[in-house]
Amino acid sequence: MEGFGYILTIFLVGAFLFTSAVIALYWASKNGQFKDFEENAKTIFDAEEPEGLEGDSFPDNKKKD
Amino acid sequence: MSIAVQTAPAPSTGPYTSGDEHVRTELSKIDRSMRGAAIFFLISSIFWLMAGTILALIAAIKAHSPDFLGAYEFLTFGRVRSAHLNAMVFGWSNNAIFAVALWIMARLCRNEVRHNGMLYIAGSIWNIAATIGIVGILAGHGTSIEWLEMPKYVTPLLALSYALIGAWGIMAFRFRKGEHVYVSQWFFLAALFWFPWLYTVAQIMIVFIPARGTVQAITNWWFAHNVLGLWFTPMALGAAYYLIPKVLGKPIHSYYLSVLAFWSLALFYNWAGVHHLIGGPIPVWLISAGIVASVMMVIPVVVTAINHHMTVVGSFGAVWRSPTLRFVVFGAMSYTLTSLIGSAMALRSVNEVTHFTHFTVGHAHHGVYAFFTMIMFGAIYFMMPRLLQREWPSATLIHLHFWFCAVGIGIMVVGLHVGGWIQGMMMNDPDIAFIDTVRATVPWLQSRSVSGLFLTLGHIAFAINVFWMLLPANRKVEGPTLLERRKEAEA
Repeated sequence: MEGFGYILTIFLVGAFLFTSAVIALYWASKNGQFKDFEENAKTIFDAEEPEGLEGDSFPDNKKKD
Repeated sequence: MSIAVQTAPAPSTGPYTSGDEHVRTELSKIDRSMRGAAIFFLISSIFWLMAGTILALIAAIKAHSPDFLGAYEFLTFGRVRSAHLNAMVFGWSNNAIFAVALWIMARLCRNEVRHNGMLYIAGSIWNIAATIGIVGILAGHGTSIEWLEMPKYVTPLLALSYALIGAWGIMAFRFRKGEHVYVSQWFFLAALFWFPWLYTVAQIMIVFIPARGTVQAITNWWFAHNVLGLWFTPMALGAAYYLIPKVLGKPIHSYYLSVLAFWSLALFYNWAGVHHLIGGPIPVWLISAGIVASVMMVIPVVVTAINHHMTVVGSFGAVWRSPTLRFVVFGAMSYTLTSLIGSAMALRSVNEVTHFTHFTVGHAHHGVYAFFTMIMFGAIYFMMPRLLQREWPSATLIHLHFWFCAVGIGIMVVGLHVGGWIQGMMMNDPDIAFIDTVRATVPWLQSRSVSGLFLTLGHIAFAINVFWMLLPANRKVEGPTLLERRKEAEA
């Protein structure tokens, strides 16, 4: 029966994780995180690094220009 | 040089190149707030990468030439191999994560990192603890529990320093500006909670108040596999979901699919680790559940693969031009491949062959190196010029780094998969003597040592480039090509 306590611990910990994931999912849904995917995908861009700007290249590309 | 002379009278107005601090805006301020801490973690990670590589080479050579360095007890295979694993996991990978994920997190939260002195203190404790732990393993104090080999006297130190570092990531999220939580933030935030949970539960149940019998083995593999799936994977995927669209300058193909990938990973992955115990003396239902979860992982993997591919398609020129994307796309492709192979390996019929063979070792490196580490390299190539506001000093070294690592890990993965499969088939044949099986693996193990040499050369090129970039003399380099603004200005 001693081992059972551990199985129960694992189960409770797993259940806790699962519940927290469900709560997070519920919050995200209520908060409107799943609305307007088109627009939200662009949140990574801003004035300094705008959309349409290729952000990285090898330092020697300068010579090839 | 002539260009520099011509353009010298008109100072750059770009936020990264401008000498005038007022010109720099939000993003640059955020980058600056994270600069010291990120570079601290990066330098630590590179030291660990080199240490872990040397330990790996020693272990790899010993696997086919057992007499190599055979006279030193602290370099016996069991210790060196464990020291290698821990140096890479707790040294290289975690330091790289702390640098990259905290930086991207700060950028996405659109808020400066405050009180970053704490990150130096916590980072120092983390690295001191990791050093004590690895020296402890070499000294023979290891626990012999896979992925938790470090002696238990360093556990409290590691836990404490992680708590502080993790808290800084979570605080960045808590004080974020802007309404939307981008998918990378989901990945990072979740992983920042998952890792301490995995680590403390595993430490308590296996080391401090050990459970009895097979429960230890179940906990061990639940932990070890989840470090890959719920710590390394989300960190690397979060970085990829940020970097690919960012470098290309266009949003991810389907943002909906990226969110789906996160939530399916969050809900399925936790169960998958038990597939390491297929055929072991644990309840069959538990193994079956593990197999189901492993196969369910095909969903986030395929979703991610389609999404990344569709984003990059039509822009392969940009992938070729960008050091960041070269590494990240290599990593993303490896993620697809290694995950699908992993799901297949969880099937009982396949596992019958691959279990207890080098196939598993090849698979582990496919995931941790070809996927995770390559994405971290790519992220570092993106991060450093922005933090330091200067260009990478040598394009040649970046090319060398990429090709040595890509070829090296390619040789290792193919060698160990093929060799491991042959080994498994031979072991399953009762007419073949065990020693013949061992002999048959030798050429494949030698191929791993060769791949180790390639990786070592790649890592040296990387380390030279990073330290060269950090040299004060290098500050004079102007007009980073990383931003197309320079080209616009010249045009």
